[in-house]
Amino acid sequence: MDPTPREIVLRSVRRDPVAFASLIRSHERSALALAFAILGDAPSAGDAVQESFIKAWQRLPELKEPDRFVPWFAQIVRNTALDARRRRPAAAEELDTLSLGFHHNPTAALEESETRDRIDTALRQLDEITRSAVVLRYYDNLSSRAIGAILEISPAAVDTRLSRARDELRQKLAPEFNQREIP
Amino acid sequence: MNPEPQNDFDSALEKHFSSYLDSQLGRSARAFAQHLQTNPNHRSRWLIIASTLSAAAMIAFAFFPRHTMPRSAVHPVVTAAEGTIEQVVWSRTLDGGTVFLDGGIPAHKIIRQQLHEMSWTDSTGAKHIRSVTPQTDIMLISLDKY
Repeated sequence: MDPTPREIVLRSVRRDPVAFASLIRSHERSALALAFAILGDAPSAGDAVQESFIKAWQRLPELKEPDRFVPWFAQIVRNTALDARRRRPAAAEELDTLSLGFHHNPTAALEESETRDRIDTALRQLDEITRSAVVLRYYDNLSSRAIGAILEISPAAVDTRLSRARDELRQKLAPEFNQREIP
Repeated sequence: MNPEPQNDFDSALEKHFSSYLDSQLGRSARAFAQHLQTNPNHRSRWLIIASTLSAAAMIAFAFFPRHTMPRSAVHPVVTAAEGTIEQVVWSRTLDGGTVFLDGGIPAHKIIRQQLHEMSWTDSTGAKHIRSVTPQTDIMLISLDKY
């Protein structure tokens, strides 16, 4: 029988590196989503998450309630990302516009790039908690309950934020999606 | 509220975030393994196998007449008092054909896919944990125009 999440956390607290590697695999996507919502660029989010897991490994003996691992670790990711954001130059304060720089079809590439820019701009206008909820939902496909556990808000509050965010994003991204949207 | 059925808007957002963040997956596991390797408390318990192909080797593979290179695997086994840790790296190099960079410059695209598989079995053989981390690297080699 596979170990439960609680057992994996307990084994990690007891310094079992294989159990902790399993935690990394389980929580990496949500950690990246959270860091990306704060930092806005993928390589910095990757740096912050990497650093956060090492910090978590070092501080695990301080975790008194294994069931609180998710919010505890989310706080480490958030603080690490906020520190990284404070340290970096103001010029880098925007969502990553990394492009692969090649494409079979230049027109499609241009349209894709414009869509990315429009989505980035619309996301920047959301508040940080709402943006985190959006990235957690769409990148990690988490339920409102799971998002609420990470952001320490109720599932109902997550739903409200996601609903408002969708309306705002749809409005800002019109006409790209409105005409094709399923009501 | 749980995730809703897919539509264009949802798909676009999923694709948007994946295009940024998928490249970062697996970094934390590698950093953690490296951290353990340099930490004296765990050095004896872990053996990290760095299975990397050099750029030169990748280029050489890419110009083989076959489009798909065969899978290769390394099977190092370390036995420790607490159990056995095994790490296997599966890798293959694919020829992605010719693509065009901005400005119409042709380039050869080489895709390297890796699966880092790690498993731990306790000394009695009763407990077993396995983790698999995928990684994809894309390399572009510019081609001369004639």
